[in-house]
Amino acid sequence: MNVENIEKEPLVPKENQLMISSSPHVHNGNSVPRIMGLVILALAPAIGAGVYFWGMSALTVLLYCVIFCVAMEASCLSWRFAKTLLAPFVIYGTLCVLTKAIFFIGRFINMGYVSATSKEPIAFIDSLSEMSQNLFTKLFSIPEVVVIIFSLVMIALALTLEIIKDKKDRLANKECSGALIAIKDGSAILTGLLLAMNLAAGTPWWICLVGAFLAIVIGKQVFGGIGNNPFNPALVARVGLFIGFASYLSTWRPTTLMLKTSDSIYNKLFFNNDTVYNSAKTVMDFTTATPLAVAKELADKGADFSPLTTKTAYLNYFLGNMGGCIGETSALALLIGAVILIWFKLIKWEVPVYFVGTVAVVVTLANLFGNKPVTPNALFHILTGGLLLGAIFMATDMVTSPSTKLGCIVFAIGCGLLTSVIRIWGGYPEGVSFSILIMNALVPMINNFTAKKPFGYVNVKAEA
Amino acid sequence: MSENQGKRKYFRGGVHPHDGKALSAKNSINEAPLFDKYQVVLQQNIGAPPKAIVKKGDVVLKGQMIAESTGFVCTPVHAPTSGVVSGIVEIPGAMGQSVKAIEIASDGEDKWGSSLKPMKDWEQRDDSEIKQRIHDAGIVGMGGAAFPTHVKLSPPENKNIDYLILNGAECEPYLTADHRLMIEDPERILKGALIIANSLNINKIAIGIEKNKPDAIKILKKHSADYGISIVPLRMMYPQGAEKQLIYSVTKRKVPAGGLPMDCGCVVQNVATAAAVYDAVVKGQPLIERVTTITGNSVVNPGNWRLKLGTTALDALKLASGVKNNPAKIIMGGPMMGFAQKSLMVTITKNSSGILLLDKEDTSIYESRQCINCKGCVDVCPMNLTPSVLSKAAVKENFDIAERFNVMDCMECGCCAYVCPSRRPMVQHLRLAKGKILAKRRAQQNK
Repeated sequence: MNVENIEKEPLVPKENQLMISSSPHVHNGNSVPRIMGLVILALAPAIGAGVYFWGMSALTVLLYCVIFCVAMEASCLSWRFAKTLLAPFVIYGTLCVLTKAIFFIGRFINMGYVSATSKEPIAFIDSLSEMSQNLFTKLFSIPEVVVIIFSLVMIALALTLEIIKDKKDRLANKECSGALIAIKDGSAILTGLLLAMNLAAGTPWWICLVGAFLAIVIGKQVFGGIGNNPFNPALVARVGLFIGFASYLSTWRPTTLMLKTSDSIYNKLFFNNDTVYNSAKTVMDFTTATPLAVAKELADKGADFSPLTTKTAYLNYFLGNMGGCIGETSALALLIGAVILIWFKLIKWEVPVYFVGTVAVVVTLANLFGNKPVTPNALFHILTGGLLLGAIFMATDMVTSPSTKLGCIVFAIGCGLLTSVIRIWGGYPEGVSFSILIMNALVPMINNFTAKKPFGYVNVKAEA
Repeated sequence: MSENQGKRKYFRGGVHPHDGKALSAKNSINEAPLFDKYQVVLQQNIGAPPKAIVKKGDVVLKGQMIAESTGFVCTPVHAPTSGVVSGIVEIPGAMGQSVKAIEIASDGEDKWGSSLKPMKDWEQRDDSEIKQRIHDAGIVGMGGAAFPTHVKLSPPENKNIDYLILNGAECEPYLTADHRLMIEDPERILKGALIIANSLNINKIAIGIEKNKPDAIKILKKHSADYGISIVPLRMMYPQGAEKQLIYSVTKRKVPAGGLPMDCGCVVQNVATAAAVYDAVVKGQPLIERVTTITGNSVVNPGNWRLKLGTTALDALKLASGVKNNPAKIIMGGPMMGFAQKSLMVTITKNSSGILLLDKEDTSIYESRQCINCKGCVDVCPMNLTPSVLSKAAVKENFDIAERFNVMDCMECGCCAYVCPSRRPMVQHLRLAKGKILAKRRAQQNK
């Protein structure tokens, strides 16, 4: 530095370049994409377990769900904010509605047909049913690759147009649409992953598509996008699919490990009979039942639960070697995810603990009062079915849970009660998704009742 | 200790931002040179505005009263140096509005002319005399709120005050003015504390200091033994220096919601205020200068200066050798509660604890999103509120809901916005709600 520079008047800021905003002026750097990324990281062990147990058939479902969800989100956002890309939204929407409609019509007519076959088949309905079935198979025999490529192109198109518009707006000093900010947060990827984890391995692509529509459009965007949805989008999709396409949602494939071992439990209980098991060559050939479904069956028959609760069985449940959704089977992987979530302070440990704890207590109490157990023991209920997935990843969903810690605990206990009631006395073997959705609906009420008392709160009535 | 049983060790919530105090904590307080002109803001206190008693062309001496108080919650203003009044001008105020200021052109002599006589025998003086002196010297809370000190020292008859707490927490990041004052002038602070305690007739005095200032704690501990003042090291946690949180940390008493510190028997004063009280009473000097930190990553020589009231930010910044690169924000005060400025012509007032220049990398550039209800703000709110609900209610103009969820207890510390992953301007939302509710209440009262 030369002498001249030192003697010069000190450099002072230019006033016209100063920003003005409300305090505080610093930030800890946390952001929505970071939160979403960490949750995805926490999901990784469970995803890994799913892929390990089901191989490609799980991976494809994950892929479908993520791509379809992002495509739905991109189309919805670009439509909502910029009204630039109506087309993909309409195409997807129509496709989904058509899918559902055709399927329902087909099934309805089929039902009529089946009941009519015992008497006289009605030619008209018969032909209509056949026609719809033909249409159905034709529509869904579109190669999967085509759908995936179509979706990817749609995402790319939506984003490119958004980026162009965003840049234009910025140059013109206009307010940006916000669609880009919203899509970049990664919430659609997370919803897609969670949706996939709630589906069985080998679920066909069009179920994933309908699921993505239900999750993103019906579950989230119609309420105003991220942050405004009262219900957990992935669960809306799961329950919607479960009601609409029950058979696809309750057909489970055995894990690759199950086929290698000739464990008698699986032969006798989970597979319908030994011949199927012996004749089966690949995973795709046959189906299995979840331990909870078997338990329900045993309970209906009044049989003993001991075959389900052996040491080997528990080990299998803990590691995830059983029938079920992609993400729900491995308790170990889910617990690793829970540790990650709690470590990064993304969830409160109270929620999963109270949720699982309530189920354990209710199950134990239900078995205590009565001559003989009505359901397998608490450990069985914790390790099987979607309880851990629901307690760790669904009940802790930020948007759809109450605002206060106390509220979250109330929420978790409510979920636990409903889950155990549905599991023990209800018609479904599984109750986690229903119970979380019901509790989601109660969140505003819980928020009101658990409103916090400010620091130094004085009870006016007590003083008076 | 029975009083403290069953209570939390610390106040609830709070955040711990990067404090950036290392920039200026080691730099001792520099005396500022005399500038050509000073623009002394007329209203430097919360409450009624004082009335100017000088006019253009008047010759004033350093320490001479130039504006007199017009009510109980009001303090006079004094000339920072000797010179000629060149008029009453409009200058940009620290809060963004334009304010009236008395401009004094310095004559370069800096000649004293205060009417206040030193009271060396303050221990024998009457309480009311001391309080009158504190008022006459124009002393206000120098931590930030600028609440007239004599008002705080005149509690209603029915309030039983038994605890004086000096606030040396300085929990705002970057600021080191109080820190340096505690290191360099412990005697003034301690004696000032004694004077305040004496005027309130209490003997329990504590100074709360955050643990990130071990040198200040050490020095004050060494000196305070003679005075019977206890030094309380406090956990490093913003907002440790907020009145209610400080009282809780030191005494485990809770100020009732909506109440004042005196409702739990406490009076809180900033350490700088205590030093000013000492000057006013013992030396007879009115409040005409204060220690201000000029800091930030883009400042060439960050440090602490003793600046006369009315010094412009521009002059102050030149003392620190200007900036290296163009900063994104200039803030009067700290980064958590300070005010961003649009002009460098804003001046030092009695509550300017710092001038902070933030780079673009340091400051948050907002692109706010939807609230995802992550509950981060709920966890950090030191007032135990639900900022997410309040902010959403304010945006939707549901001020009734905001009121029901106790928005009025918000002290705007900014913890919620600091942790918000959606970068929502929560404090702005909450301020809006508070303003609307206050307006509504006032309208109802007037009916």
